[in-house]
Amino acid sequence: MCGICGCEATLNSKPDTRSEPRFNSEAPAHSPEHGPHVHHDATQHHHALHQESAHQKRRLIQVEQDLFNRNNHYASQNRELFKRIGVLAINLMSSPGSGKTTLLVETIQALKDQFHIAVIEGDQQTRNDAERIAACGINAHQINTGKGCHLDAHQIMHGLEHLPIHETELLFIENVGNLVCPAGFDLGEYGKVVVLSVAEGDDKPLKYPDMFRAASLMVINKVDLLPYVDFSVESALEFARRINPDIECITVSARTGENMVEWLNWLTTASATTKAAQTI
Amino acid sequence: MREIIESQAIAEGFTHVRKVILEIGELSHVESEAMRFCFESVMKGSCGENATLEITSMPGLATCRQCGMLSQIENLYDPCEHCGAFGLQVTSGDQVRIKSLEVA
Repeated sequence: MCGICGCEATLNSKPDTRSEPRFNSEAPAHSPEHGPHVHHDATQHHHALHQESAHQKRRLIQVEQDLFNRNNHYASQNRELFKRIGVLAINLMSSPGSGKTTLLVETIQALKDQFHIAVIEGDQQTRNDAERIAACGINAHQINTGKGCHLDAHQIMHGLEHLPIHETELLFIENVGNLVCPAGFDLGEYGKVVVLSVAEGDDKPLKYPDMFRAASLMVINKVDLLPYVDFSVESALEFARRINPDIECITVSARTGENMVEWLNWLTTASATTKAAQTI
Repeated sequence: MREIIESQAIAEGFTHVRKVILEIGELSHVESEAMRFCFESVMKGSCGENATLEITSMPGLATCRQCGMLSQIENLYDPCEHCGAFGLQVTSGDQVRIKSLEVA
């Protein structure tokens, strides 16, 4: 039983595939004069033999488990489901105020006659964004994270229970507005898309490298404001490619519609790729 | 971390953890000092209560796509030490792992 919510999702706690075989070794007790010691490298530390004391006998258990193991397990389950039913799942991330929700609303308006779309919204509080999406005639499920600063795969797994996922072709997950923590959590998505507005500064990729390393695509939004801000698209792309040479880039204005067609084509192509790889 | 430790307690049959040996990659998403700050609070009430946290910092290593050489890097945007090219492929130092537990 899941220790988080009581559901029956199972998790087999296995060591990472890169780990060494597990073993238990009887580590002799440290005599007081040795004091604490700190490992400075990854090599195995062999203790010198000490006279064992029955009262101080200890066991050393090799664990070799990534802290994100549990999240990655749920993410794999989500990914397997999406692959099986041919759903393109996009994890949309950015700092607050980049225009993510507006981009999503305009995307939905453009594609809803072509695709069955569903949305999972992540915010600390309120249902504002889910209601905005629902007003477009689309199924939307709001997750309120409370004090939490990111969505995780377990939340997505349960969020899907509130959506007609088997009839869905495009699933947008609008993550909590945060350029740090969401980067570290695999949700089972096809790809992470980071939205960066021209009002934010073109050196954002260097200041928040984890996010831009994790993303497949950078959407530079609000380009209608370029004449009024000190933002270089070329610099932003160069900085992003220092961290992630494979990152793609599309510049748009969700508000005016400028170049939205390139973003819509990217989604359409990704959806076709996903359906071609469908396992059922 | 607490969940992993409690799972291990069931699997390996121990009731008390004396030390948690944690590897934090220098390119990972986890800040060592933040981890130390939270550790005691998170472990309260578990078999890891009062355990010592020992953190090993793992260096970031990345391969250059231009020259193929390996560089040690501190930031994801660091250039190759050998040819100066950007866009290195991280090969290690981006994980956070419980390496081992010293238990009683």
